[in-house]
Amino acid sequence: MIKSLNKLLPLAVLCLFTSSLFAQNKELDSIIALRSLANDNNTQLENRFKYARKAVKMSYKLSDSTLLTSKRVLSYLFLIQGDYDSVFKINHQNVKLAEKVKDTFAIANAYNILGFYHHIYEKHDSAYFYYFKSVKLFEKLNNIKNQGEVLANMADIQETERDYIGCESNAIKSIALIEQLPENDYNLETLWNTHNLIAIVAAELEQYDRALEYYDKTLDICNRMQDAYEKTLFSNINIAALYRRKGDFATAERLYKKLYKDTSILAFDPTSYSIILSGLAHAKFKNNTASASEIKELFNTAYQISETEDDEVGLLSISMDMADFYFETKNKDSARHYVDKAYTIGNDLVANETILEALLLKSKIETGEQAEASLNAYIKLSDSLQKAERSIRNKFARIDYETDQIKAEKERVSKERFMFLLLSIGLFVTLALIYIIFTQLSKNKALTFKQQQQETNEEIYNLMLSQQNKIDEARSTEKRRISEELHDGILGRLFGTRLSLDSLNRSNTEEAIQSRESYIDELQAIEQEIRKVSHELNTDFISNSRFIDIVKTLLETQTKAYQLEYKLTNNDSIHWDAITNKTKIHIYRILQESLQNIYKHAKASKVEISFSIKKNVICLTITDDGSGFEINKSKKGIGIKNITSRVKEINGELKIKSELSKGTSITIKIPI
Amino acid sequence: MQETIRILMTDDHPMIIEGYQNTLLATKKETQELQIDIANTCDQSMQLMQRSIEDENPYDILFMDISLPPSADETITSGEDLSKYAREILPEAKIVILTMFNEPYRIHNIIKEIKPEGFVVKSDLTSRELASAFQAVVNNPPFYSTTVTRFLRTTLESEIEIDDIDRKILYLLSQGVKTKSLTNHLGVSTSSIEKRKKNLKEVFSVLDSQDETLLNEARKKGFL
Repeated sequence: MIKSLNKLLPLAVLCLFTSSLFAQNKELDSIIALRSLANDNNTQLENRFKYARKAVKMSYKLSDSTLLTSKRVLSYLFLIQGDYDSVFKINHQNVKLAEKVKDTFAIANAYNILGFYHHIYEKHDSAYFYYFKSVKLFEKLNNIKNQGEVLANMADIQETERDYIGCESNAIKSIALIEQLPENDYNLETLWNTHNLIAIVAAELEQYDRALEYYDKTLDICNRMQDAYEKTLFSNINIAALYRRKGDFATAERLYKKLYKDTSILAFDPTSYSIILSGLAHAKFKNNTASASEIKELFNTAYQISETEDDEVGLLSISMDMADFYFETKNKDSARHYVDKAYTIGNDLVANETILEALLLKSKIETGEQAEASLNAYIKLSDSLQKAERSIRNKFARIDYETDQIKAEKERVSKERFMFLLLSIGLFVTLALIYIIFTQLSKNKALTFKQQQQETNEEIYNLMLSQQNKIDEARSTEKRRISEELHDGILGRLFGTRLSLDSLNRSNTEEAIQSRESYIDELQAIEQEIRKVSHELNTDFISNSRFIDIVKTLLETQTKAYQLEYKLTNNDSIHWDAITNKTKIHIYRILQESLQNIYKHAKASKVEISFSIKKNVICLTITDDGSGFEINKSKKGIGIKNITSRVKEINGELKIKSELSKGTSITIKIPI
Repeated sequence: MQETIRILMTDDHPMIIEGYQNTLLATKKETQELQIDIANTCDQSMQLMQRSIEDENPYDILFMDISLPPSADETITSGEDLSKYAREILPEAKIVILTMFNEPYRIHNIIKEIKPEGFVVKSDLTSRELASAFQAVVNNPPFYSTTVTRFLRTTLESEIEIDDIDRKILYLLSQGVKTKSLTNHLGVSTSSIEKRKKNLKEVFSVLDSQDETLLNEARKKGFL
């Protein structure tokens, strides 16, 4: 059973499309130029590396996708060189880059290369893992060629690890895909490999007819190929081996003989030829168509060729065949020699299948304890192999399953993330709303407070205005009164007097003189009258009274409500009209607040309010005879705070004196 | 031939009546004998008028002040009312109005309502004028003092003819009454007042829409 080597075809694809990017700027142009130089098969590998490294270095300044493409060129060069560790490193970087730029093809490709890397080093589970990821992505991209090839590689791994069912399944999938592609040697070779794998698996499962069917198919494929010498040879050897295995030694001999006659094989592929010789010898021995010496010679020639070619695999199978032959011909020593040889090589190559055969044969050749030990070793190895097979099969199944699971997990995580995002947004919005509502509420509160203040201030202002109106009314009434007094009283009397004097003017009698004298007295009386009116006009009976009137009204109503006695002392030299409304309003409010405080806390019976003025500073003193309080100890109430803020507003100065059970005195100095 | 003239002087200022008396007594003709009664209030005046009828000795001349304190029952509030009353009960008596008022509107009204035989504005009055006024009323009424005459002349001369409501509108406006409140004083709708004002403005050839201009023009033409 001969398998062909794995191939990595995606690399060829890569080379094609790197150069198809169109230039965006000069730097990109030079990067592209470097890449195509690096991809030039005619250039020395050393120089190609130089170009590729330079391209990567320049790409760092540009976008991630540019860097990725450049790195893929370099990765290809590493592959050609066989520097697999670098291949491994760079492709891990490429996976990350590709995920970043969401280039699915590049991701799939990098996974494929990583799978190949592990395949080379026979880390079959890791290789399978990456291949699986890769094939899923290629499937998503609907990339039939790559998908089929990766599946073929996967089938190969599964065959090696004796996961026959998995191998067959992947191989069939691969065939179905590859057959859709145009027919050329490259694709046909892949098809040959997969068909060959299925045949091997079938043989292992002892389905010889099926195996034969697929081997025939491999021959068909060989017929379709341009250059099919090697593949045809392999197919024919495999078919002959199959017949031998099946026990149809006659056919096997016939086929081996046919191959044996083609001596060109010896020149072209001596290792294969040695296997043919060994196979022929074995078949002849079984068929009894040659003498023992003849057979021995054939075996020895085969053994020699393998030894010269240093083909351990060949040596292994030839040794086993020879041991079998010597055992059957009762030549125990030679049999033991070759079985030990096969056993040693088998151990070196970890060819478990052959080791088992060797152990079984050894147990037959040897006697006593030695035979028993060999048999035990056989059973032990067989068991452990079975377990290993089972576990590796499980492993592949698990990779399939886990990868699907990881995908599901990823989806779940992304779903969870989305939910979390949604939740956080919701929470944030709610918090923001709450914050807005709260600030709005407090703003509203402040506004309402301000409005209330405004309203109370307006109230006082209106009070003042109405007082002003009253005053204006009183003033105009007074004016009218004076006018009437002048018109009706004084003017009339003056007119009468004038008229009388006029009439007396012409007479000079004593009587007339006396009369005139009385009219002159009358004139004097009128004079007095005019003086009186003039005086009344001069004294503004209402000036200076209005603010104090408001204060008085306040005190009267407030003290009445609080059942307090009050005394108001006002200094007439305070010109309230000249003082700003703002100040007056604040004084009014301070008085109101103070009275309220006295009523609430002081338990007073009397309150004295006095206004005085000194050097343009009005001094307002509010004194009560209440319980008083300790200024330092007591917390400032809202009342006091309000008064303080009002005093501050009018740049005043506040002093509070208080004595327990004697009363409190507030002094406020207001500059004007 | 001795002639007895019965006079009732109504004025709330005794000094003024004294002035009238002094002047009349000093300037009367030799043939005239003056019997002067004095009333300081409307009620007193009405009583005296009544009594003169009862005594079958009615007054010949009534000197009337316009601004008087109202009567006790408040039916008579001024010299104008009192004069109308006098016209009813003493149709033969000659009325002389003596007033401090000198606004054309009031003058116009008094002339229209009472048609007094004598009309003297106190500020014009000298003893000589009073004397001549008295003689004129006795012998050859009517007598109007200078201010009154001037007013009559201006209104007669001017081609402007406006009715009493127009005059009152002008008067009230000049007193500072707002157009809106005019209805209350006149019992006429606002729209008709507006119409009248518009008409007044045309009559007085006032171009702008300001009341002030109209009033100034009316004052110039002697309507105020």
